[in-house]
Amino acid sequence: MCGIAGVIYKDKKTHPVGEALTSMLESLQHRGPDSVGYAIYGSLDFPENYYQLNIEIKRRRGALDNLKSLLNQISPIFEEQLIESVGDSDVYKCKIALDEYSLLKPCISEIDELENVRVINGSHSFEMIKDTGKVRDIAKRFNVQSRMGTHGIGHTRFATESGVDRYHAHPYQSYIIPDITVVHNGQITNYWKIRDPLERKGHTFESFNDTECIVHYMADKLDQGYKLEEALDQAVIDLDGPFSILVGTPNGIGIAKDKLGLRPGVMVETDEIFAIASEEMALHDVTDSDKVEQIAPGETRAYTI
Amino acid sequence: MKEYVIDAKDMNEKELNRAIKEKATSFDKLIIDNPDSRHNICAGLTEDVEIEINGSAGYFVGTMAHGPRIHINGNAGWFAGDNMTDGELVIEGTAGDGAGQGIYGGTVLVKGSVGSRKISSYQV
Repeated sequence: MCGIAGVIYKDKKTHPVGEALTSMLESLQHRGPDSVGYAIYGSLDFPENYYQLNIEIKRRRGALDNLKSLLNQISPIFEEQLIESVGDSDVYKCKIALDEYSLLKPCISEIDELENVRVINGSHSFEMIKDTGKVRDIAKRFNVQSRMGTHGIGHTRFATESGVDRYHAHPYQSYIIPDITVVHNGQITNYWKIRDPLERKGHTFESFNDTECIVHYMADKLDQGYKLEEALDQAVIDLDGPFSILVGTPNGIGIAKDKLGLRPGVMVETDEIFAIASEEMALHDVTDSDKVEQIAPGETRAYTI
Repeated sequence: MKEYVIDAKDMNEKELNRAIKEKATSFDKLIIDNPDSRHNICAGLTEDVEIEINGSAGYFVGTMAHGPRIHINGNAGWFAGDNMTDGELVIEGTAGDGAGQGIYGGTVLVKGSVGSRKISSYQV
């Protein structure tokens, strides 16, 4: 199943997006018990070329010291926080500076070489929060409800492929362009047909998860100059299988639904907000409007600020 | 006419359906407030009772129902009135895909649009 949710406020100001998405995801909890994730845009007010890294770190003696000494070779650590999580690992969050965006992915790859750590993501304008477990627990663990932002997307996962862990929780991110994320309900059945040409162009894949494939596909299209709506329309033509995909970028959100309409998607648009969810109950968490639209098979909808 | 109001606000899906089944035997009409698009509302209900749902219902509202007259003052999700054998399901708003699928008897009436399989989306 999986539950997807997204909201964007039309006034371009910051709103309690963390709280809004948490309510929406709690309403969609029945669609996926495995893991939860958020991409909250406009929440990090970083100067240019500053980045937030989220790093999974195993509770081993010396692991954090090794990580920090490598980080210090790359950049000074401006802020840091260790968030206790479940299982055998925690999440280390820090703020670093790089000379330019193209250095972010190599920096992540370098950190990934270390033992006992895995980079969950690196971002400039949005905050990624994802972990295994239930919405309520994760919202509390990462203090999500206090996060302000202009827009965001979220996900409750019912795993149908690849493992259930923090890394495989949605959203997935691509580094082909800055700060693009995807959450997804469904399966891509022509996975290799999509992945092969992207790999031949030099894009690297970190997993065999189809959502990772979608985020690289979308990022590649936006990188080529497609607008968000155009990239979503092309995704409907190119991707096969049942899917509702929800994309987040620094200035918008958008959804694409497969040609046969095999996965759900409803939305509401008012003067104030544009919201998308798997089911209607989640829309009522962010609006009193009952003008619920069923997104049609093959339809795409997007809103950018 | 004996009426009873069920506030579904703090009930989960099973608790709500249990309350509906229990009260349906002794009241003529049940009013359900705060349904919040819960799934399977009135599933398998066989009493001759009137049900008024104030808000939207989720997937499979009235599935396998035999007899009740269900009125939804809102929208319904996928598969409304699935496999109904008798009774009535009236939806004031829109319904998702598969409304009335596998229906053997009774009536399903949707006043808004039905399903997502159409060219343009409909607004209530």
